[in-house]
Amino acid sequence: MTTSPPAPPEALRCLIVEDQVMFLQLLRSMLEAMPGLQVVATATRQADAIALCSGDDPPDLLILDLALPDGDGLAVAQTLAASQPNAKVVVLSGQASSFVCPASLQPLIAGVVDKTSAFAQLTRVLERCLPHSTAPLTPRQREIYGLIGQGLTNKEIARTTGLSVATVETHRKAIAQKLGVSGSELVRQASLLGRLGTTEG
Amino acid sequence: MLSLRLQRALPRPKRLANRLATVSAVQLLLVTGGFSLLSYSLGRRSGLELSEVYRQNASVVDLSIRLSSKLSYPIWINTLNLNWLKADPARERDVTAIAERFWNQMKVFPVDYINIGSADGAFVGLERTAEGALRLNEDTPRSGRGSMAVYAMNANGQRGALLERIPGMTATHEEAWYVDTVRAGKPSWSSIYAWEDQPEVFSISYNAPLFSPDRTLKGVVGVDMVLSQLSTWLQGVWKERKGIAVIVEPNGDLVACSRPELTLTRRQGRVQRANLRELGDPLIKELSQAFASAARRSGRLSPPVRVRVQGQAYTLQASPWGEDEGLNWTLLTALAAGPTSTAAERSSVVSLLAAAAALAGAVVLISRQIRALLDPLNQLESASRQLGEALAAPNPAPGDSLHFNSGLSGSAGEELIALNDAISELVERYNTLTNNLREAQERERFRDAQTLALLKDKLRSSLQAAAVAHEINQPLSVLLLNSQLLLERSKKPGSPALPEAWQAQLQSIRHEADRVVLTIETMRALLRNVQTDHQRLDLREVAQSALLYARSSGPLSRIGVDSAALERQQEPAWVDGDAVQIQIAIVNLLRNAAEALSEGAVPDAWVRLSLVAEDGLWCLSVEDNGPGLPPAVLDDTPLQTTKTSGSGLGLFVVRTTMENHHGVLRCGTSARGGAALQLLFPAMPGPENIDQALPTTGD
Repeated sequence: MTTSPPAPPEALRCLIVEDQVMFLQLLRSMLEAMPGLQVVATATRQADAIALCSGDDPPDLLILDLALPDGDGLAVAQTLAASQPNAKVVVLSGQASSFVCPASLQPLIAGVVDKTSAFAQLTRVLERCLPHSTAPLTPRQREIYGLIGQGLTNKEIARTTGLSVATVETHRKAIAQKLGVSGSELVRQASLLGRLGTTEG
Repeated sequence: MLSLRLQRALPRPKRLANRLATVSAVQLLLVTGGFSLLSYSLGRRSGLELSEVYRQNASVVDLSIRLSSKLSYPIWINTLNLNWLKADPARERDVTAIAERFWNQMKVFPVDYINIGSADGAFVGLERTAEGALRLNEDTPRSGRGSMAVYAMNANGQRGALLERIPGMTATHEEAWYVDTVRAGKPSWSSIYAWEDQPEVFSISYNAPLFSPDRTLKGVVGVDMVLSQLSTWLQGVWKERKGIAVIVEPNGDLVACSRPELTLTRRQGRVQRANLRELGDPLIKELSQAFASAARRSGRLSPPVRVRVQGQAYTLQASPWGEDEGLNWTLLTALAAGPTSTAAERSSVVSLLAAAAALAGAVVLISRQIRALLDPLNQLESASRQLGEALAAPNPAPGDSLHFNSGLSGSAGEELIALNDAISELVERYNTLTNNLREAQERERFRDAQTLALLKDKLRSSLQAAAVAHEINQPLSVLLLNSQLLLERSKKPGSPALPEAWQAQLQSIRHEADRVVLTIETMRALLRNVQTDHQRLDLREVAQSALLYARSSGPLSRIGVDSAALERQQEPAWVDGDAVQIQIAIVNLLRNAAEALSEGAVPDAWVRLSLVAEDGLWCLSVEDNGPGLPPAVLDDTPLQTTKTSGSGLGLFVVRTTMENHHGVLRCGTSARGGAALQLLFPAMPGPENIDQALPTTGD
């Protein structure tokens, strides 16, 4: 179990629970690169994770492996739900498709992610969890948002997507409205998220 | 069975029916024969007894008539003498004429004494002595008053020589014959009294008073009968009969007896009359009892009584006699039974014994027969009960066969032996059958055990394979994450650029690893379907869980799933199933739909997951607006796919899952022209209420 310095107030405070140390390190380096998210602690055992979740300062986000040496991990999620009702949990599993989530935990679970697809799926799920998420956007809008993040102009976007410039402009306005940001802020945010790679491999 | 065969070798057993018939016939003969003999002999005996009673009655009547006749002489003599005296009052003092008259009468009539006593004390009497001679007793002025002169009588009835003079005679006739008659004032029998001059002589006399025309008493005439003479007479009358006849007064004193020696007894040196109750003779004792019981019947004729004294049967009867004459005597007779009657009695005893013997014989016969019948039956019953207990035993040990041995002998009767044989044979067949059954069960169990072992082996290898799949997944995850992070980092501004060839190789590693992941995923799903872990579950929960996973991964995260219909389903959708299998099936369907939409590059891609009740089934539908299912899938041909990357196993896994759940996979076309796949599960009652077995139909 390791703990990090306090996170900036606006960042999501994240706890990673994973017993495979190499995978844990990869996850940590991946998540630490995400803006708006700070890995405040990691744990390899369920008991340690429960201790962290029931403490004075529970995390906002829990990345949880289900196959832990001392338990199936769900107890950690339950503990967190009790101490931090607004927290989110992302379940990470080698057999994610076989994990039938109990109804009581379903509102808490932001996503269930295959370890083998950890990079792409985790990125997508975390995107929805982070503030300023692109979740409300349609797939087309999300595509355009991604292109904005790459610093493309409306004209370049229109050419890339095969849409008219006017249509791209309309989408741009709708995106800004949905995410509740101004035009310049939209560009800044999109470029930020773009670094995380929003495209599917 | 060995003992039975031995029995067969013995002489053939008798048929029970024949034996019963024979015994019954013999019994019938014995009983009816015995009773016939008895009733014949009893009838004969009662007839003979009746004739005996008649004989007795005849004797009594004869005796009675003769006694009446004998006692009527004094009455006639008195009447004649009274009339003779009244005809000429001068005759009263003519002693010579009186003596001659009395002498003549004594010659004719069987009486013992005829006399006349005058009121002045004079007395003339003619006596028959014990030797049969006639004597004149006279106390008259002629012979000299005050003494009794006894004269002999000659052949012509004239007074002869004076034989004796007995002094001290009373002047007023103090004897009963005179006193009683005077008191009665009419002719009557006196009580029995001893003579004044011969106290050992007891007599009874009939006397009549003699009155003058002015009714003054002039004297008494009388006739005596001496009791010993009466007994002698009775002996003569009774002589041809065997037994005894007694005449008694009401107090039991003997008047006369056919055995004269019994009438008198000597008491305190004086001769006195004997009393019936004091006599020791056994027959007299029986008569005394009969007399006592007759006295209780107050003079009515008693029925004859039969007694046996000293080996001889007698008929006793007590008959009242002489009431009209004022005597109140009782005639007691004991008449020996005749030889016929005795013989009849003996034969009736013999026949009674014979009948009793016949009955006893019948009883012995029947009890022997019952024993002969009951003993084998009891043996059979006891053996059968043991057999029943053995049959009722809850769990007979293997190799424990039934035994039946009644131990019947060859004398038990053919039918019973046949029954015994039948039961033995049944038991043997039962044993054979149970042995066969047990062997068959053993074989079956062995086969089942083999099959089970085989299945366990397969299952074990399957589980090992699943475990291996998981083990492979772990390093693959690291590999994939590493290669992807590497690729992404290289794209970042300011990072050292990777050579093109390395990038291509990294992509290739990732691609191949993804294929391994896909293969492992499919393999795991297939293995997961080998064993179904059933429990009650709510399909809504499983569908939501599947959605949770599907939305986190792959193309579905981009397309989004319309699950409004699922959210609207308020009612728990209970089914009996394996949650993991069902979730994998739903994920497969959702993934198929997403991939079809991605490949078809459908604008406004749409996937809907819904759950509705449908006629006792729960229908989980996955619909899309993609290109729709190929005809092969619609024709229910598995393992074919339009997907270039798919192995075609996705839909196969879904089918297997539905088979495991006794459900159906329905393939069709959605409302928006794409594929529609429906999973139909049999609904089961909810845990809270079994009555609400089926969900209501609705969307």
